[in-house]
Amino acid sequence: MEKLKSGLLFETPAQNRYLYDSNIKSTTLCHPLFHHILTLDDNGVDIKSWFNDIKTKGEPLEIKDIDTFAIQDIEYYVHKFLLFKANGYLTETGQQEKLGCRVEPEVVETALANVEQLIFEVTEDCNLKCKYCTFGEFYVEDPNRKSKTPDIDAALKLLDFLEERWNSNHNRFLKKEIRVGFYGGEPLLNIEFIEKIIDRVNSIDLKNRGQFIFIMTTNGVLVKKYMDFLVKHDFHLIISLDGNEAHNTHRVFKNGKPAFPAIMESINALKERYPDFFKDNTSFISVLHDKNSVSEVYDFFEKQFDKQPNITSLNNDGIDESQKEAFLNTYKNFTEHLLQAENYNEIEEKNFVRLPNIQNINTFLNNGNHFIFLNLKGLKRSKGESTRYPTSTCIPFAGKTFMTAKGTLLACEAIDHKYVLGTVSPDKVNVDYKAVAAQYNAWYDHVVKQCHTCYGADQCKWCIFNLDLTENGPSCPGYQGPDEFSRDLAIQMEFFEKKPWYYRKLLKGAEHV
Amino acid sequence: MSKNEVGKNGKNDIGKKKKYWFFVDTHVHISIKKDHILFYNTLTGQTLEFTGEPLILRLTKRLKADRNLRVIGLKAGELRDPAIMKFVGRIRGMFMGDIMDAAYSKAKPAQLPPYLHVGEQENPEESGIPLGTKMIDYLDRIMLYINQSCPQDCGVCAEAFRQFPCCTSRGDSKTAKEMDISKLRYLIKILEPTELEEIIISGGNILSYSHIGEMSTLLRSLPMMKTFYIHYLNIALNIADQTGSLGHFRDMDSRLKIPVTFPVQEEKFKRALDVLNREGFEASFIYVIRGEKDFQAAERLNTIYNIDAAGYQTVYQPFFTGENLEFFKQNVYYDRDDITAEKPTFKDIFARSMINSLDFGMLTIKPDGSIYPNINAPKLGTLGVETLPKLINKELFGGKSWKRIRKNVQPCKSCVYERVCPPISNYSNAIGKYNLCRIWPQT
Repeated sequence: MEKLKSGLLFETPAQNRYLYDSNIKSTTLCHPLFHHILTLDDNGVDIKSWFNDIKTKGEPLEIKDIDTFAIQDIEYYVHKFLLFKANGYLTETGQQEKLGCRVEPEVVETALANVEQLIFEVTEDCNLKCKYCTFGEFYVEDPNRKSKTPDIDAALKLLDFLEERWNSNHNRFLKKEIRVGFYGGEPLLNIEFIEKIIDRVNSIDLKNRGQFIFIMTTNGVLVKKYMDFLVKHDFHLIISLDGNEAHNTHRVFKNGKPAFPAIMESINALKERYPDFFKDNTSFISVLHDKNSVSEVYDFFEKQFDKQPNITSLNNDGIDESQKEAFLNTYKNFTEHLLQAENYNEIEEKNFVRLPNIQNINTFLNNGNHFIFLNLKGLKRSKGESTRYPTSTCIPFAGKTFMTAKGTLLACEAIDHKYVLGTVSPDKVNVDYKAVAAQYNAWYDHVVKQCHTCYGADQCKWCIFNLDLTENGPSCPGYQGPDEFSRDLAIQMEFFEKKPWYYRKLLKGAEHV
Repeated sequence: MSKNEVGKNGKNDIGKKKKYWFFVDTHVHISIKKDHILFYNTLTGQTLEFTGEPLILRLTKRLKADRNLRVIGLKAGELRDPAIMKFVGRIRGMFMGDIMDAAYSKAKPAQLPPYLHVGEQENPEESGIPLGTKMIDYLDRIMLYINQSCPQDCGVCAEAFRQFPCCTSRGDSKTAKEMDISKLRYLIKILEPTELEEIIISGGNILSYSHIGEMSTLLRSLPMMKTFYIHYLNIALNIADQTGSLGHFRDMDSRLKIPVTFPVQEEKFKRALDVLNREGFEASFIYVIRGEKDFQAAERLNTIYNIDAAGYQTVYQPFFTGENLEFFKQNVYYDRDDITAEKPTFKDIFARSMINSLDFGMLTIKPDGSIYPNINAPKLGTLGVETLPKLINKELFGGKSWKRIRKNVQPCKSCVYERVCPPISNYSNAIGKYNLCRIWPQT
């Protein structure tokens, strides 16, 4: 069984030195001499013998560019080192036992009955032809994508199937709402389907769940036309828009005309007619690319709508080899550009945990520290660390169930349509819980070998569907050896060196012990 | 002060403005109550206390401030203050923190102090998060009183079970002297899919339970540890024609706990021991100790009958009679040395600041199906009337047993040891005070 070092040493750009121990789940600030001793130990030096030699020689120790230290100082830190060793620091840790969880068929069945979000792909068609669309020119073409719309009877059958489960003993929620999402293509191109789904959903009598909430991701062009309907059903609207006119040059109609004027007309109409709905129920998502910048996008939405958009990078999965250069010319990494933004501090103040770099720090705090517990029972359990699923992939159907226009069921709208978990027809919903569990476990087994030697496995943010699940794979882009993990630790500690007050803010609600 | 604490390059070049970073390590628990300060080292169990020292209080508050994250700057001039120098030296000497030349790095370092954060603290009935089996997962142990009848008259029966797990024939159940088998069947069915660690069966004399045969069959279907409380005098009664016998508890993951009360009936003790030796059960003797005399008697039994050598465990369980407070003060009350010897970890400290780990996760069920979060607490509900998840939720979000912590009681809430001390036990109910300690003798 492969073992990893539990103690990792790292240094921040400000040259402060730390020890992070994954067994203790704690970060310790180190005096340079203590750090030197820990480094020697890390390099396999027997510290007791080393110190005996120093004592015999009776000479002080010089650490280059730091200082010269007397024997009694060295002795002090040798004692501190031994104390740490005696208390479980600086040992070994095994990911293999931690990542032993596998999906059981019952888990799949229960997850489906407790699904939090049901999403329909309302149409594969779109009224825009955005250059960077995942079904556009940069990406390997899906020959099966042919502007299809789903069979309404199949979708209604799925609702019959889920109604039964929502009201069954498998449901474990008391009052939690169920979100029903409409996704495309451009969903408003198939309003008839949406109306029928909403009529059926509103006829469902939920015995143990809260209300239904409708969500839609749209390009905004048709919002003006259907705004009465959207407001009537209290939709939560997510509109894709990349900033001002110049920022939106990739967003065009099929005839190549810019879409920005039509989108803005639509949004402004909504804002004027339904100001409260616009304020409370409307949010924006923007793609970062060669035509805009982080600061400009935030600035546009703040001035225009008094809102903060969610910004994403272009999807860099499934790129057509022949388009690679064009893609790279268009692509910008959001996190990198965010940190380079002139007004980064202002952006951070307003967006905070929504920013990917802050989310990384939050993940580290939640998974890499000994004082975070999922619930009260975690405080009591004396058993060893419980096992968990490899990667951060959702349990099938636990978060989302996505019905495609072709009538297949997927775990999420953001994954390749080849990862089918079930099918829906007007006569039948076909989900083989045992087969789904077996498939997930096979995928887990496929990727987990790499996790076993990954120092970042405790803080993994990767979904298996973003990894190569073929025989060639996986080669996880998030894989971290000790150096990569130490580098990330240094980034996280540097953040708190500069902004210590954010520590408490991130651990909001925490009790100071 | 050693060379490296003085300054980079070891020169005596320190002006008053030369700066040092003084920090307290993350393995140290810091507590401040008024002008009392406690530093507790979770690696060594050692404590460092300061009282009525405004300068130290000010420094400690600075260390604890959100803007400092346990690292503060001290100028050489400040370090010349004997009080500060002594404080820094003591922290450093006990491996609770350190001081270093600020010139070793380019900017102020930070520590990530332990702020306890527990998710899922909203009441699911209000927020709609999953209840069902997730709530059942909170259950670790169930103590089940299956009957209230016992032929013995051992003197501690009415009170001992209120102080520690024991048998009793005074269960207060007015409607049922023994548990209806249908209730037991219902309970076992609920518990089958859970991750319960232990089910504890007590009475009365459980060997005389009318449905002992079916009960043992039902218990065999459960994977968790089964613990049976049987008074030694009832084991001594274990005769062939009795309705029940220890044989029922064979072929399952089980152990016996055998209360022994004093004065002991030695012939019967010997007979009980013979039965146990014959049956070959894992067993512990729970000596119910009222004072020195009982302690001596227990020691004598151990020696004469080679209890330890025979593989049995022994527990000396103090029993408060109302008249033996001095014995408790000497043998149960704890002091600073006991804390150091116990060396509570940070996880213990976290737990003690949020839950009572003696009670948390445990429900007690009486023969009539009444359910309690603690034997001395008000009734939570009734088996079969309310579901277990609902009752667990009720205790978690409205009850006072599972969350019976020192932070909420006087005088402990005013003491710097509040989160380091052991959880409040049922002895506090019996004695009528929470601080069963000698930390502050005057309280």
